[in-house]
Amino acid sequence: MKIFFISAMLLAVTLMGILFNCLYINNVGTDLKEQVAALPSPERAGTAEAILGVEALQCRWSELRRIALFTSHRLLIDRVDEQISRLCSAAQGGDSEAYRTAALLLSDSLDAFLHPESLRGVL
Amino acid sequence: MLSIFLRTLLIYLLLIATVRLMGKRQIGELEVSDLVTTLLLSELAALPLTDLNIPVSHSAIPMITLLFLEVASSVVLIRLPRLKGLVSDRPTVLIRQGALSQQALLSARLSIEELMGELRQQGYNALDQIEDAILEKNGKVTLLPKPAHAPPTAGQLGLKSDPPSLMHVVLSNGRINLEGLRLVGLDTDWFMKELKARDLTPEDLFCATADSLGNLYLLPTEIKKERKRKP
Repeated sequence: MKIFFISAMLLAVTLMGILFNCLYINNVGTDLKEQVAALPSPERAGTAEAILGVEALQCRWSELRRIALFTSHRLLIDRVDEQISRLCSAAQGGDSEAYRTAALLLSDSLDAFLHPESLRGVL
Repeated sequence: MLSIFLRTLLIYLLLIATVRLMGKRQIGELEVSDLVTTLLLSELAALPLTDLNIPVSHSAIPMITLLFLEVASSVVLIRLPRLKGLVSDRPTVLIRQGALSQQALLSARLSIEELMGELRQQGYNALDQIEDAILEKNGKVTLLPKPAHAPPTAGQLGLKSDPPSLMHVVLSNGRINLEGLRLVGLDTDWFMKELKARDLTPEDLFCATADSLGNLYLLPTEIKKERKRKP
């Protein structure tokens, strides 16, 4: 029975970790998706507003990234990293086409990143 | 992490069902849940070792989940023995009172050649020597021979025999094992006296075993002798 209680406690701690991680990643991930959707239109790439929007996005992602490194597959994190870098350089360079594409790809990467933390990810 | 946890539960249940349906022959010496846990654990441990992109948590979560499932299932099955039939097979009687059940053989998917092989491994060469044969839950066959083919016991021969007494290691590599002495109900003083009577010290011995009747078996160390021989 001692081993049963130890394993039950370990499982309870693990479940709490899973729950915290799931809520945190979904919360921040959804925030990020909203931030991507709320970015200035591609025509405004290169403006201070677009650059600030992308920087705020980058800042929020770096918060999530620290936790995600312990719990998410590295490839999913790298994909988001890559799209944020692309979006950043497109916003700074004023390339509206690259900005539009990077924003779309970032949204997809965030979906892929959130997928394992949803019930759809089970199957 | 959520999907990994739920996937572990799903795969565990699926594997239990699959191995359970495969029957006793696939199991070897393990119970169904033991086999499933062993199968999964070996793969899980290798995941983060071979792929650095996978965080350790992806292995740790399924391992902790499996640990709990394994321990919890054994606790539940002890408390609710009726559920045992769901997880593991019941023993199958293959031969009852000398009569072979072909139906039981068929349902266990065991050929007559395999049964004969089991008989030979246990020292019998004909089916008519066997009174009862049972295919156990772990896939092993237990054979109970007919009285005419069973080895005689000391009781049947009218011989007196001492009750069996387990030997325990009381010294290993020159060090006295207090736990071993406690298990046989003896103490260090007794052991040291025995050694002194034989003109030995613990350092002279590689191992010593004793039983509760005070029987002592001593194995001298070879390493010390070799060291002594060296200049």
